[in-house]
Amino acid sequence: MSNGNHGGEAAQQRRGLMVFLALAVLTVVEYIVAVSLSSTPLLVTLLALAAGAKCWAITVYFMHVSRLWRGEEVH
Amino acid sequence: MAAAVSHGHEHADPVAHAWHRVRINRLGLWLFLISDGALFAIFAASRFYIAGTAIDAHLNQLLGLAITSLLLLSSFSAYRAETAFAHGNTAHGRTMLLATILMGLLFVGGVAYEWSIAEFAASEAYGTAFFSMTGMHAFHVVTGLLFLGVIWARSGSGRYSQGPQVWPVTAVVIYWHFVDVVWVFFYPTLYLLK
Repeated sequence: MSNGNHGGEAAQQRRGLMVFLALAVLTVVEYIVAVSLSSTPLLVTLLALAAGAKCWAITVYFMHVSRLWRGEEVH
Repeated sequence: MAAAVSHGHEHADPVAHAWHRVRINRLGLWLFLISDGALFAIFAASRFYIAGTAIDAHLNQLLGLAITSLLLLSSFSAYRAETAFAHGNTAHGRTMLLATILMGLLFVGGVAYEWSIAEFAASEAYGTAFFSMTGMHAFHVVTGLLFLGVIWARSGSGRYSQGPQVWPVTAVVIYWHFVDVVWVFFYPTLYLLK
């Protein structure tokens, strides 16, 4: 069935799993950094970087932001 | 005449017309998310203005990590649901939608429990930030759960099993991911700073 999505279902599900694992690792790293560091400026910087990376991954891979300009039906 | 030809051409290719509508709907959804994101950004900025980077020492860190993990996992199941529907795998998509709903309910339950055991008042600086930010976010989670529930109930007849017709599932799932993105910033802002 032509459904406008790139790659097979299994490949897309695998990519989703990889993204989820990356997000989970970043979350654990955030927690460990927060309980380990005492320097507030460094902590704020590292947490902001981690949150930015997670936001980027979700926006690009889960929310498919590129479909705004690329479209979904184009192969 | 030209308009009539154009009108006739649209109906001659209903699939292309449906995809065109999806593109417009997607743009509208993202514009809404950007405006809603501005609201959450204001809440986050207010937290630093009224309470600095301080957090309450009695905050349950493990509970915060647990509900954060749940919301992250629900985003993954929502992605799996959307992917399954897009490939005509309605049964798996419905199962993943249900899993997303259950995890969302657990998240809301976790926030409610956190509220019930909080050792700080809403009148304190940090309490004001905590209750307003988690409250507004939980409100969005609940509305997302309602949308997911509607989609799950309507998907039983197989109406979301073709290309452009999957858009309602995609739209709700994008909204759910947006709620997760907001928490990606709220979690460190409320729980992890010092």
